[in-house]
Amino acid sequence: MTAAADPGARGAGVVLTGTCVVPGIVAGPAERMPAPPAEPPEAVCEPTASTDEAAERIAVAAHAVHDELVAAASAASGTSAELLRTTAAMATDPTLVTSAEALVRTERLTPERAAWVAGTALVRQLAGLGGVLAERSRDVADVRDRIVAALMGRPAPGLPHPGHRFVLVAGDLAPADAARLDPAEVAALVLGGGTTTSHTAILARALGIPTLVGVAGADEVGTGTQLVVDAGAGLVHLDPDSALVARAAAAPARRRTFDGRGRTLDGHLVPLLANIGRPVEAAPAAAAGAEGVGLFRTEFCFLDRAEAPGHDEQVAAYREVFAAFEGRKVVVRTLDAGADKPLAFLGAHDEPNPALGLRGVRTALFAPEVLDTQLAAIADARDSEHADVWVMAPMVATADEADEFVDRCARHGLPWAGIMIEVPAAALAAGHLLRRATFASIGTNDLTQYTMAADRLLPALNALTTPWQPAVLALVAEACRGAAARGRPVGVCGEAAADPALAVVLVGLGVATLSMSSSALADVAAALGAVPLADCERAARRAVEAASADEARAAARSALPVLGDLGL
Amino acid sequence: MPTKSVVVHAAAGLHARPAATLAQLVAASGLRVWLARADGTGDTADAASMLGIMGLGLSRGDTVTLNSDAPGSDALLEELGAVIESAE
Repeated sequence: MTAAADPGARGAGVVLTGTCVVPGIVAGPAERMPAPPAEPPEAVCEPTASTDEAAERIAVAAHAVHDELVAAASAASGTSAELLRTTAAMATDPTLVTSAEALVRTERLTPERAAWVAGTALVRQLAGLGGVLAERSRDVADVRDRIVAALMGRPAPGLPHPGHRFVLVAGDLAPADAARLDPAEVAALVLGGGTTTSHTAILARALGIPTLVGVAGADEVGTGTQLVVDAGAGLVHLDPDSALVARAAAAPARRRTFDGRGRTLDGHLVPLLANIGRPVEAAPAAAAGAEGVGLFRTEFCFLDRAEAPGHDEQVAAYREVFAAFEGRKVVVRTLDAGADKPLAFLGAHDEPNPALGLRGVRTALFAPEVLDTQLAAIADARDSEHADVWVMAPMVATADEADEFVDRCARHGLPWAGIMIEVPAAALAAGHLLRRATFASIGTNDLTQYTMAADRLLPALNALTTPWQPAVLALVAEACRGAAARGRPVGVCGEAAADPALAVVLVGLGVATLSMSSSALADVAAALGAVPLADCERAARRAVEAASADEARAAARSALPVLGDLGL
Repeated sequence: MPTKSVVVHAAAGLHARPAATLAQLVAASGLRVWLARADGTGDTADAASMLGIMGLGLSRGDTVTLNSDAPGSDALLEELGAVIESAE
């Protein structure tokens, strides 16, 4: 299975392709995650063996796993440390250890088999409960695997620590492993599975580790294989030549800062804004230089609740964000319920196809009081702070829906009322939708999903769900044309804006502002600042005219050689 | 035998973090404490076991009973009850 052992299968010059989550170019040896142990066979202890001694080995292994996770926790910080400490507590949990010991004493199972059976029963029990408890079942499975590996004298599954910097190659990472990623150790991430919106991707972006997901052939890259990962270009070079290694080594260090003013090389201003999902993210985004908030998702107020939150509770949450961006723009997206975010108080849970159902602004049709309460809270929060507050509706498809939203906003004294463009119909009819709405923001994740008829949460469809698809870029161009005829600005919020090369293309297509995770601001600013507007437009034309997503990216990048110089 | 009944208020139910806090308090006390669903199912967990507590699958609005056969465990049950009721 390893390329090192079988160079004929994956020799020099082989290049794998994947989808970029975090750009950057680095060289280093591959390290695979030790696979979790297979299910131990249904074996019993030797007839002469002492089951007491066998049972005691379980507690010893459990304590060793516990101590190892606690040590990892003390080297981590924040949520990573908390996650690791909780997982450590699971290792020595009495329910797990006692039931495994009982299986050895009463049924004479081998310790590894007993630990497997007891752990698996708990995994299934939690998974069956649904919700946040089911999410923890993966941590229990991780603990079970670590105890079984310890009992069998196998290397602990999970992140390797070879003592040198490496490129981590894996299918996908368990949350407990992803939380322990250390940029000082892991130079790049190459994942066979995963998606650009997965938990691992979000963490990698926050840590600034160059990352590719959906890399076909990643399974066959063995530990020790030399790699150059050119994440911005979506490429993994196996056994690269020395020129390529030298280029990677010469690439600037990853950490950049943003001076708070997005612009092209020739001074065309492109405000760079932050996407925010919770009020606590506002202050760090402002500190990272964000010129405002381009997408303030408000679902956090509403999820996991039996009833809609009250007016005062919402006002307090919105004020925290407005206060962090005094004098700057904050675009609040009203509640985007339905599909993958169902809410108890907003009906319609039995739809055969939720992605095409009552979601986004459509929920206002049958529960207008929820939207009215939210708009009143936004207006009151705005009156108490000094931010430039804009409001936009998700999933708008028709001009009538847009006008209805504008009217509702006006009744609450909110004159800056806009729409999200996430449906191809809205992109094609942007001129009509913007007859009264004052701005548009393109949600590239959903626009791509609906254009390609491909669920963006399915790793198998990564090749379809990239915003580099020329059809998606053509819709962005069309939306910008329709909006320009009305003199309305169009922004982009979504993963596309966080990809430096794609950000340049979007500006070339006529996009006025870009909103992204604040960790992506500095790279996007560096890319834009190196390219004059005319070159952005030229790269955009080439990308739109390409026949495939891969060709679009390659064509745009070849028109923008400076990106390679920047290591993006 | 000391007992105490409390209601779960956390929106997401009694999840990993409060379960870990409860289990730590019980383990540190050295006393035996059981946590039981008060809905007639008889589902009971060792309160020193985080995974056992999580396995009860307690949701917002569920009532649970804390029991101990140890004399003098009333203060501990009060403390555990407060953890359950204040969990978010």
